[in-house]
Amino acid sequence: MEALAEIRGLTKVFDNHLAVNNMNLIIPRGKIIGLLGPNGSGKSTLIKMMNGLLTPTAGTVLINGREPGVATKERGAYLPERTYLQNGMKVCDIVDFFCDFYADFDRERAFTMLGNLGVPFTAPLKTLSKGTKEKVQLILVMSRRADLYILDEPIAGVDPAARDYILRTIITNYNENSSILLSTHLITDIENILDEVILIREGMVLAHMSVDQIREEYGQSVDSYFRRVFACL
Amino acid sequence: MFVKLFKYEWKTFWKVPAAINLVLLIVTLVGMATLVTPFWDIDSLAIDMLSVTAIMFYVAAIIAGLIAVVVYTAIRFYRNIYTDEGYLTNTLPVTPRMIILSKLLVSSLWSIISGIVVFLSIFMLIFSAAYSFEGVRFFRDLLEFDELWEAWGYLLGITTDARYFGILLRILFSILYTVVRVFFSILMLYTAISLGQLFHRHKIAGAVAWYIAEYVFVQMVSSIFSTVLLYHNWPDSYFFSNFESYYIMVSYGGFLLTTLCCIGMFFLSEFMLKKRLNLD
Repeated sequence: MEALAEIRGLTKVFDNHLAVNNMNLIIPRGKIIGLLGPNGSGKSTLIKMMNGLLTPTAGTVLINGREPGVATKERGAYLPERTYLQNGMKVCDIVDFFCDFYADFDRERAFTMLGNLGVPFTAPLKTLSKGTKEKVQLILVMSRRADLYILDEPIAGVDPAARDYILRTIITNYNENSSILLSTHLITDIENILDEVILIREGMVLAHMSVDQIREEYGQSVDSYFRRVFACL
Repeated sequence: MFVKLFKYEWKTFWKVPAAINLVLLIVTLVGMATLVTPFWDIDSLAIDMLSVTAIMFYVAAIIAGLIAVVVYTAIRFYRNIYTDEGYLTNTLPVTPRMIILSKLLVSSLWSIISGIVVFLSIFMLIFSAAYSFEGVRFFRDLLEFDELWEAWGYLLGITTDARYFGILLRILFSILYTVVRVFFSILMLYTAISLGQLFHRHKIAGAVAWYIAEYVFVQMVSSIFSTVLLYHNWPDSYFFSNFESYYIMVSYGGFLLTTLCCIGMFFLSEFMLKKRLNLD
C-alpha cells in the first residue's frame, strides 16, 4: 500500500535558526503515530508545513501524492495547538460551518460527542472555558472521515476524564486507510493507543519505529524510552 | 465553496458596519428633526455656537464612521487570515483566491453601503435645512427637472442634443469607477497586511510601513500621470478649451490605471497567501 504522506528533504529556517533540518519521513496508512520530542524540537513546525500553514525553505511534503492544497485539505483533518474558532460563534453554528466546508464531516457524530462531553450546543464559544473549547475543536476534527488526522497537543488542556473519552474516540474513529499523527508531551496517557513513534530532536528525525519494537528491543515503555533518549544532562 | 465563504464572511462582517451606519442614521434623523424646528431661528450667539458645534460633531461622526469601516476591514482580514483564526481559514478546502475574493466583495459591499448612507445622510440634512428656510417652495423648484438636467449637462460639458445619453453614460462610468476605487482602497490594505507578514517580528508595524509606501507610490504615479496628460493637452491652444478631452483622458486613464493596480494587488495578495504563508 502506498504511503499516506511523504516528506522529503524538508527544511525550515527562521531568522537563521534551523527549525526543521532536511527531514525525511514516510507516514503509512492505518496507524496511530506519536510525534514526540522536547520543546522546540520542530514538531509544530513540521505539522504546520504538512498543513500548508508554513512555507518550507526547502524540500517537499506530499499527502496522497499531492503537495498541500485544496485536495489535501479536503482529506486531511488538522487540530492546532491553539483556539482557531471565532469567539462570537455558537457551538451549533460552528458544526454547521464544518458541515458546509467538509464533505466528510459527520454532523450526527459531532453532536453525539458534544452531548457525551456535556458541551452546550447553543452556547457562544466565548462563554466556554479553554478546556471546553479544546474539546469542541477536537470533536470537530474527529467528526470528519479524513485520511490523515494531524493533532497537535490534542489532550493537553482537557481534564483526565475527558482525556480518556477523547482517546477512545481517536481509536474508534479512524479506519485502516487513515492515519493519525499526534504530537504530545503526555506520553504516558497516549502510549497505549500508539502503533508507531517518531522521535524528533533539533529538527531532525532521531528514530521512527513501532511501539512494539521499543518494548522488545529496549524493554522499556515509550515514556521511559523518551526520558532516556532526551535526558537532560 | 465561494458562495459558502461569502455567506460566512457576510455573517461575521455585517454587524460592525451595520452598527456604524445605524448610528449615523440616528444622528441624521436627530439632525433633521432639529432642523425643521424653529429652534435655529432664534437670534442668539449661543444658538450660533451650538449650530457650529453640531455641524462639527456631524462631520466628525461621518469621518469617524468611514474610518471605522476601513479599520474594521483591515482588522478582519488580518485576524481571519494571519492570526489564530488563520489556522482554520487556511486549512479550509478552498483556494487563497476564493478567500481573498470573498473578503474583498463583502468589505467592498459594506464600503459602498456606508458611502451611500453618508451620501443620503448629507442630502437628507441639506434638504431639511433647505425646507426649514424655504418651506415647500424648495421642493417645487427642485421638481423642475429640465433646469436640473441642463445644469448637469453644462457642468459635464455635454451638448444639448446628446445630453441625456451622455449624462447617463457619465453617471454609469462614475459608478463603475467608484466601485473600482473601493476595490483599490481595500486591496491596498490587503496587500500591505500580506506584505507585512514578510517581517519576522512587528508584522503590524510592517503592514503600516507597507501601506504608507503604497500610498506614497500611488500619489507619485497619479501626479506623474496627471502632469503628463496636462502637458499633452497644453500645446494645442488655451488649456480650458481642451478641458473636456483632458477630463476624459484623466477619467479613462485613471480608471484603466486603477483597474490594473487592482489586478496587480489582488495577485500579489494571492501570491503571499499561496507561496509565502508563515503563521506564527
